[in-house]
Amino acid sequence: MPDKETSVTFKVQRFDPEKDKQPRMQEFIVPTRRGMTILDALLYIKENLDGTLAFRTSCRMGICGSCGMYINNYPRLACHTQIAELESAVVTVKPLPNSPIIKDLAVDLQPMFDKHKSIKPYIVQENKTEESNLTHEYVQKPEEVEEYEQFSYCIKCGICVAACPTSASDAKFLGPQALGQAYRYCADSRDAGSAERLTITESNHGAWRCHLAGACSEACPKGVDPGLAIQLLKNKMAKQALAGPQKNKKVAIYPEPKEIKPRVAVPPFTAK
Amino acid sequence: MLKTRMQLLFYLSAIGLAVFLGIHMAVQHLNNVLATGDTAPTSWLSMIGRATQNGWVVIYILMLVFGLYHGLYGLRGIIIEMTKSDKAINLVNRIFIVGGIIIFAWAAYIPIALATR
Amino acid sequence: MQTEVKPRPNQLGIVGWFWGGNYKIERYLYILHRVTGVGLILFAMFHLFETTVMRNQGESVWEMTMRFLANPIFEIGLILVGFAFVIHMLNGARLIIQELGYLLGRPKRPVYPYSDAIRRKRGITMIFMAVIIVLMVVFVLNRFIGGAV
Repeated sequence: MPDKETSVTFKVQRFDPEKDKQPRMQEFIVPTRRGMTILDALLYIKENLDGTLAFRTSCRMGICGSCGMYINNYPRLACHTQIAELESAVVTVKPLPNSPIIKDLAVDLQPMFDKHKSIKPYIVQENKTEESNLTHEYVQKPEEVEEYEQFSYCIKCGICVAACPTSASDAKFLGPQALGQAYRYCADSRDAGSAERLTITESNHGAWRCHLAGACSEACPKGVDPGLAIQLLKNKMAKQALAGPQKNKKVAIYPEPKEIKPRVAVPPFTAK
Repeated sequence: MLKTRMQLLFYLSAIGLAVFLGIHMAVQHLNNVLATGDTAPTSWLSMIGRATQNGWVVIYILMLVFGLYHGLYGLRGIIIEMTKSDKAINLVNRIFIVGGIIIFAWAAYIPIALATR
Repeated sequence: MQTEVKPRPNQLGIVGWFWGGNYKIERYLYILHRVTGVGLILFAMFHLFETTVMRNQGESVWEMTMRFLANPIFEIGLILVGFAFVIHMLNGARLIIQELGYLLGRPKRPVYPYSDAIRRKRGITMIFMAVIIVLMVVFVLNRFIGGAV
């Protein structure tokens, strides 16, 4: 395990579409310190060793989902992976598989975003005017929130798509991210779009192309468990196929306020 | 929801296959462990003995239906996961439907012909 | 003039079914299920040829076919087919149950360290694997107790 005195060899995959025909590996020696993440190391390389290294990063704390990479043969967030936890003197960093490479470690996540958009990732209302112009506040019980809460933590980093064996060969497969989010909205008691959403997810490249490899859930850096969401989605699809569209229970609407209490007056400005 | 119904049929055919292949395995491949008394289940006499019983003919034909559907639908799934073109997928669907019917017709005719011979 | 540079495709392809990284057992049961399934289809086609074309020609051709098949290569092949059947059936049963959303539990708040439903229910997978191994042993045992497979 590296300590503050050691350095680690980074083998980083490089690919410049304007110059290279094939990706190549480049080695860097990076001095490490306690708590240093892969992202810190990449930033060190960019600042001190090779300024042309391209990768995507933003929040550096596992929220934005920009720095998904294939680190030591496993898809991870670079900012969320400490060098020490890999317990390896050599760290290989490659771009996420199953997404096209833009340059070096930066991949194009647009196909994933397009699939995400295709499954209507928003609350669909029966009343379309209500959809764009909410007139009420909707009440959900804690147990209704629990049905989808876990899946709403998705940061769209593309790690589940990199882990999925079906996404490896089927570029049109909706993928664990989009399918997981399809369930997230179908399971929401405020949503009335299950029937149309489930016809999208049963396409040739939809939910039935998932065969429960479980790699997406295992690799997800946010504990979102898209694998579970997809199996629960299939359950909904099976019920819809056998018994017709299943409606969510009518969600309670917050009662209209009967009287509006006047705001407490702002204390008079006392400082002279 | 046609594809979901077909997928559920795929699962149902798997359950049917497990039952009938279970019977097949017990009689023909676990004969010694289960002491069924038939020491040579692949001999002509043993085989033709089963082939002339209506119950076995029904089992064979059901096994054929379940096996063909489960096998071809499963293989179609694998091919879809390697194919981008919708046209190619439609072609595979057609080939599998026609091929499945031809194999079924031929392979169902034989046990019926043997039983009625 | 600048030329448009297209992103380089980076899909693992069919290789990705077999190996995609350091994942746990279920990722590899996926390909085992697939390989055993394709193997069983190939065997079923061979078996259908044997039980239709060859059987239809009467006793002598049937017995000749059986004699032709009675050699170590085909016997090992048949044992492998038996193994494939047992794996595909039991793992398939697990897949049908879990793919329809059962035996996986309910969603949980993601609290670090994260766990996922499949890992939480790995015991169920292991029970199915244990039954697979027992049935494989019984299948081989049948060969050695009697004679013909």
